[in-house]
Amino acid sequence: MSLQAIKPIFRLSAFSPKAFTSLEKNFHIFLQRWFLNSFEIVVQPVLYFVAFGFGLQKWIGSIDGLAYPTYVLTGILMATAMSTSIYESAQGVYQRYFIGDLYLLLKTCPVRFEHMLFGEFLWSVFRATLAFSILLIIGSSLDLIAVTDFLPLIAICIWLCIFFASLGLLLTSLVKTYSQVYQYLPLIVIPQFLFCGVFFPIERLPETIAKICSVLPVSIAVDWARDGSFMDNPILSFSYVLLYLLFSFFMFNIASKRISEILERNSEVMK
Amino acid sequence: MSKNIIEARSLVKYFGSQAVINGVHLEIPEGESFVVLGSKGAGKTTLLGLLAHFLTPSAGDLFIQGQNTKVVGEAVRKKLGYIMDKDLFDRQLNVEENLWIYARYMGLGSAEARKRITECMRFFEIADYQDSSIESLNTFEKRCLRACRSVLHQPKLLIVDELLSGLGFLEQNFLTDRLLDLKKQGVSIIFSTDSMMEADRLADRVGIISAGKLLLEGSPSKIIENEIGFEVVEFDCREDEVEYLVSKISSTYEYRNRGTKIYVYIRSGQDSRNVLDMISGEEMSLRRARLSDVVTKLELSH
Repeated sequence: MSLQAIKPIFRLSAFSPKAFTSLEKNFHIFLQRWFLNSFEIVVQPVLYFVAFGFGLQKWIGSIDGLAYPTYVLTGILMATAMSTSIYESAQGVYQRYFIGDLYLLLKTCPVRFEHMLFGEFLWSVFRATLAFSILLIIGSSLDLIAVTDFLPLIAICIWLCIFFASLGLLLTSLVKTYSQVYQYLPLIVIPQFLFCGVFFPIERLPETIAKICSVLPVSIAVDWARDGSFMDNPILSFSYVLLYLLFSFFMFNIASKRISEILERNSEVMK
Repeated sequence: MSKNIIEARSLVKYFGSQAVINGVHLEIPEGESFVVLGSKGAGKTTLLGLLAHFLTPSAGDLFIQGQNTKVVGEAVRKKLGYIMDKDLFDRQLNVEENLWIYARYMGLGSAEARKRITECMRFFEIADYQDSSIESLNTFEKRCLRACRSVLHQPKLLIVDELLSGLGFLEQNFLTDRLLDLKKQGVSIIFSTDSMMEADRLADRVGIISAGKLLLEGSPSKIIENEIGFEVVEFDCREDEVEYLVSKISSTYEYRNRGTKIYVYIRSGQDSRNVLDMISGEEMSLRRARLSDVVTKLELSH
């Protein structure tokens, strides 16, 4: 790979205050139906939590000293952060920029697609954190999560959302059709939902699978959230944090460059 | 000497291997309204897209208020308003919200955006629709909204692509009046249209584009006088008569024909009655020369 090809992934040009307009617009649309939208983003995780957490509690009791509903809730919180952020940045961005020609309007304004995509990234992180926070409040009202744990949990959530929002954008930049965007579900969301310790400890999995799963972001986040193990091995924990943030930065830059190029190309042949 | 609001030097735009715009030079002084005329596919929309810094030229330079767009980049779009020939609205947002978001994209602060939205909605008489959905608007109201949106940031240059096409007479008149009001406020306007009547009302100068080349430029009356003369005789004849009639006319008059339809251009000093004598028996019309005749003549010359 030439230096020229590597250069874009180190760029910072997308990080502009103009990005907040795109965030503002999405937030405005969200607020128009805020109750329904909030309900929509938490109903699925709540159903999983109630069905598995309370449904299996009688048989499972507790895992690693945690009552099963608490165990499942922390897992579902992290899975929600993952699925909501990747949904917004993959499916949401595809719908907003590749279906219809509204993106053309942006080219009449003093903004770049890169700025808008950074706004979309921020929106994905924000929306997922919002869903996460609503679930936290529900968990707290059921006495399953202490209010004092909110801040560290939200910090973990944001870290996770940054990674998956970037990954979602990268996926959007690589697909050619709307049906291909959906592949984030079987490729990314479902495997991590099932094998990253949301419902049971990953140690129960075959050794090789367990080893792979243990370094995936959802597993790491779930571990930190459940037993507060972040400070048990701070060097390793910070290494994970930095490594995945670095991945996110590279993924975002590549995605932003690719999507901007596609949109520029599409707008050039508007007629 | 007045400064140029926009200056294009040797603009070229390729789509694939085809040059859609081919070496256009253009200078438009501040406060002028310039109308781009041409048939469908002549390159009007592409030229306007280039002038609005919406499309990237394959070659050439574009200066807006003296700034090279290659150097300034997208920031130059703040200086101009561009009304595209498409209804680009976010259908999840109502009329006012569409304007609000656009004002924000244009970099207006909250208070300024609110103030400008109110002013511009009044100016285009769409204030009653501020809470309406985009779907509920008719074609004319959508055009007003397009125009309204493009001037929120008070641009000094307005580029208008086919805003009037498909509208009724009164509606065209209303929007032309608004554009003339903007012109009085010092806004330079570049306007493309098929409507020669509106072109006549709006234009300080016209440019006629054909096959991506700006063939003629000047005041409407000068262009008509130079290219056509002062009258046009237009008539239809039988297919077997075309050659005979053309040979009779061509010795004295300039003409063009599209199949069996023949246009004869009468210059000053020439007498149209001689043509009428030559073609007596044919169904014909004699009228004053107009801009559409220039466009037709150029089309038929290529």
